[in-house]
Amino acid sequence: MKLILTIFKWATAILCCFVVLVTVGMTVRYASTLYENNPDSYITIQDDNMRHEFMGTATDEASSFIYSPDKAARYKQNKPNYSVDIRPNSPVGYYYMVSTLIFVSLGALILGMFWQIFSQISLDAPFNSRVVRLLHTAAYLYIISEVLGFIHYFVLGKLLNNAMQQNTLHQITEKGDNLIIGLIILIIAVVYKRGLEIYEEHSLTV
Amino acid sequence: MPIIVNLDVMLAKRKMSLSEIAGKMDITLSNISILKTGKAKAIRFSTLEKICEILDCQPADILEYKK
Repeated sequence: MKLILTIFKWATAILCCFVVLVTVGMTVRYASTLYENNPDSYITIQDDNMRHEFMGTATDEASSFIYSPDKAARYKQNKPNYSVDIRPNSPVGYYYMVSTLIFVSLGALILGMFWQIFSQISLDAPFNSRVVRLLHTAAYLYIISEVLGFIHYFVLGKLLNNAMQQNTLHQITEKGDNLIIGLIILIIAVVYKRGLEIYEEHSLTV
Repeated sequence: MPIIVNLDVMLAKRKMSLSEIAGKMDITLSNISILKTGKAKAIRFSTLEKICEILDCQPADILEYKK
């Protein structure tokens, strides 16, 4: 059991460091793209599972890129769906970069919480108040990320469809899994808190 | 908590120190200290029995209910 805890601790630590590096890398990449201000450079929109598929309402074929009137966005048909690129120096571009950085940072924060949890848990004294606090924070972060994900889906759709008048695009993405994980962790945190109370009561029984 | 532990009063009456009773009861000084300072959340019957036996008193002499 101790070995499993150690493996989890190091796995979350490595993953957390990796996501932090990805966040830094993305920030540098976005900053350099904005600084270059190249009119031909575009970013492909992806969801949190790295999928970049959109549903569209247009009936005509789009085998090559079709640009929005202000060239802020373009789309191409990847049958049966679409992939969408956006220009960094545009309202939708700014919004997409900021929101992506927020989501990746949230991911790093959640992994950091789990790293802390696995570091704090000891089999000799399994219940401590810090773990309860960390579990609650991790659960709320999952729920917040889900709520932000929903808001992001609608705001991105609105901005994209304001720019793109030829086609109404909807991102194909899976939502709800973070909410379920958050609620499960919240239940675990509540049960763990009760366990902590019983443990404290037991240690104060003479 | 309205339950008051009068262990210190009984110890003073019997002229016994905390470490002495802890040694006779075979429990740690920190545990008996938790009881004396009123931090304890519960007391086992076996512990109460030992205290009454050593101090030659009744449970009511150790525990008191005050509103």
